[in-house]
Amino acid sequence: MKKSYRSSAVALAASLAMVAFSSAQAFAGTPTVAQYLANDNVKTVPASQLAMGGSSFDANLVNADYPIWAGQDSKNAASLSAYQSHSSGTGRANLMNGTYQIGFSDVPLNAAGQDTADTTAYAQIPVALGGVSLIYNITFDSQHVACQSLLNQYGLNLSGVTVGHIFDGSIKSWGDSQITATNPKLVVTVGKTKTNCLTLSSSETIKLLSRTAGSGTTFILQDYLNAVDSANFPYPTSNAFSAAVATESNSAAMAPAVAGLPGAFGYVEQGYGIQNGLKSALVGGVADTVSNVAADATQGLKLINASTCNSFSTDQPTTYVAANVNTQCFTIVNSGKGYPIAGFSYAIVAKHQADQATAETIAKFLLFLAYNGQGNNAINAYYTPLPAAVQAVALTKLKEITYSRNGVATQALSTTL
Amino acid sequence: MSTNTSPEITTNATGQGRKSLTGGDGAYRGLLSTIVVLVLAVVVVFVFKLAQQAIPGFKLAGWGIFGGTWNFGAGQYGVLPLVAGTLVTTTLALLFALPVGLGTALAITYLIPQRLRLVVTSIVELLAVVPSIVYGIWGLLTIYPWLNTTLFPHLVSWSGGAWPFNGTYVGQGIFLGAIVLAIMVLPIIIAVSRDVIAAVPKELTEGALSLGATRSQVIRKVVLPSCRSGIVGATSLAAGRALGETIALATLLGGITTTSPWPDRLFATGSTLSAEIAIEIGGITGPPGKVLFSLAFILMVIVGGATYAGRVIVRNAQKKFQ
Repeated sequence: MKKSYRSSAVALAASLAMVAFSSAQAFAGTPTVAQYLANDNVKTVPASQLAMGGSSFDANLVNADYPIWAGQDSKNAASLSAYQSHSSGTGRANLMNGTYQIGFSDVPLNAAGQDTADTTAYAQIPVALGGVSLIYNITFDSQHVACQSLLNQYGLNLSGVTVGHIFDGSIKSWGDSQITATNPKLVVTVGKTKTNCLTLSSSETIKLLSRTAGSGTTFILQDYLNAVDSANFPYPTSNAFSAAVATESNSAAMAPAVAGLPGAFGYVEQGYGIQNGLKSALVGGVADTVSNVAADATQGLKLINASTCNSFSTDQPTTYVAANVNTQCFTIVNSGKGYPIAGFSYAIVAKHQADQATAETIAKFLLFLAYNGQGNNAINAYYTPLPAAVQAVALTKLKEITYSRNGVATQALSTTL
Repeated sequence: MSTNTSPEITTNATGQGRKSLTGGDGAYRGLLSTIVVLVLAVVVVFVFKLAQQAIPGFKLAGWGIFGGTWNFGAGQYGVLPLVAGTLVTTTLALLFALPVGLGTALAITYLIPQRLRLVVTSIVELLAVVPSIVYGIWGLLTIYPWLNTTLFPHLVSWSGGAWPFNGTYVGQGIFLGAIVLAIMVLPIIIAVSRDVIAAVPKELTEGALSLGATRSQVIRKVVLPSCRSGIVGATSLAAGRALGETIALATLLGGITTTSPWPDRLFATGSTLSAEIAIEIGGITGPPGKVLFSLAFILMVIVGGATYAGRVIVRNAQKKFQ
């Protein structure tokens, strides 16, 4: 009995210590952010409602968070309109031509060499961390229902190199020996011969679907392909894959395009694949853990942290300005071993805003997105919550947003954070 | 010579007098003239600015703009595949939509009972107010899988893969785009055709019936010839709508993935001038973005040409009928 009391006391003390430690960790360095978010909404509605949009990669997260933020206060909703999901290229272009006040992109400014504006005038704020899933649609006719069951049970397993060869067009068939070699469990007996199911598919030709040019999801995937096949993918771009039989304008179009086309192979931000009931291929024997982050967020993050963090210091075109991104990394790939094929998505805004209302609306929404909008909101939308270090980067970047009043530039957030 | 400034009395073709608005009430006349001048000025400024913006794009592309390879990201600006995609998709859509639209207009006017007419008309008009992105999504979620799993496999099996059913099919492409586009332009064809069919004098149809013509003969020999110009007008309006359609086609055409400048088979993917502008809008701020203005200018010329051709055909048809 005494022993059990002692154990209970030790357990209680340990629990209290853990709670205290967690609380301290949770508030260390960022208590003002929590206070700020709890008490502050838009005070003055900008003269005209601000617009935001761009990358479809982070659309699921922004679309989950925006209604919450807008619902907090009517002035929030009146200040900023809902997200317009297109592509990273559209996000950057519409920011610079004034259509959007917040552009979202998974591709850094000038990485593609097409953004001509002075990129130092913009702050790039990390707001989402998501994975790219390789999705497929392999079908079998009624004679091979066993194959369909096996595929459903074991999934499609590809090596990193094989993925590269599919995207460079050198592998054209699901029955290719490089693919069957990594799928030894997908075997049925036909007559007396054991046959790999992938050679029996009713949709044996691989129908590769690509995103149209300007896609940040393509950029992240090509960074992965660069890691596994640098000869064919010397550096990541957001150009469409030349081996593709069709191109899709965003992830929302890519997922149903794969779902409706037997033999199709494509890629999307993971949430779109899950929402459309599509399975993602295993790569290098590694399951798409990032897309299982809802079940195991810690494991997903651990895998990401153990992966190669690509800072683009060596393999980018010279037009790329790394200093403008300034986070630990932009995309995260696992040296060709498999998932995660992941990347950050950024909100890009002009550092100098015309007035206080505009500056504060932008800063407050993005702060909400980078902090309160993470956690379960991110997990439920199939994203990995931003690590605390990246949230801190977001805060630092947000403090660069200024407005000018009476000729004096004033930091929008400096008085409260 | 009359010095009276009051509105003149003129007579029209039927001999009924009406007041002309060409005279009198200086302020009112001035206001209307100003509005007309403003509208014309807007058109002139629009065309001028578009042409001005398009010139750097034409210069950048050079003679290559007449080429057969379009790859915006790689700096290849041959617009032939886009012009071809625009024209082929529109033509196919009109081929699909015209018989259906005309048949529906005839049915509404002559066959459907009065009490059902309003319901059918309302449903048809509903098609006109559906946003084009909804058509795009609907086409992708509904028609696209059906093409891939049912129609295209049967067509390939039936034809043995002979032209135009040869090559890989991916569902998306000019055929899917044309089907959805046809549905989008149907309300225009039906509404205009219905009005011109309803305007055919009863004396003509009843006269033909009294001479022993069947209903089908009346429609074929009397009604359709007498509203030929109106049908051409409806087609012209529908063509204008189809040529400029953007978002639905950007979703459905599947992009340019072959080296052939023309869609050479039914399953070909492709793109159109307007869809490509929407797709590449991300690059519009860079120097290559000027080429997108050139595309817009070319599209404007094509749409303007088609509209003018439609007017000429209508005028000729009217003359012939009179």
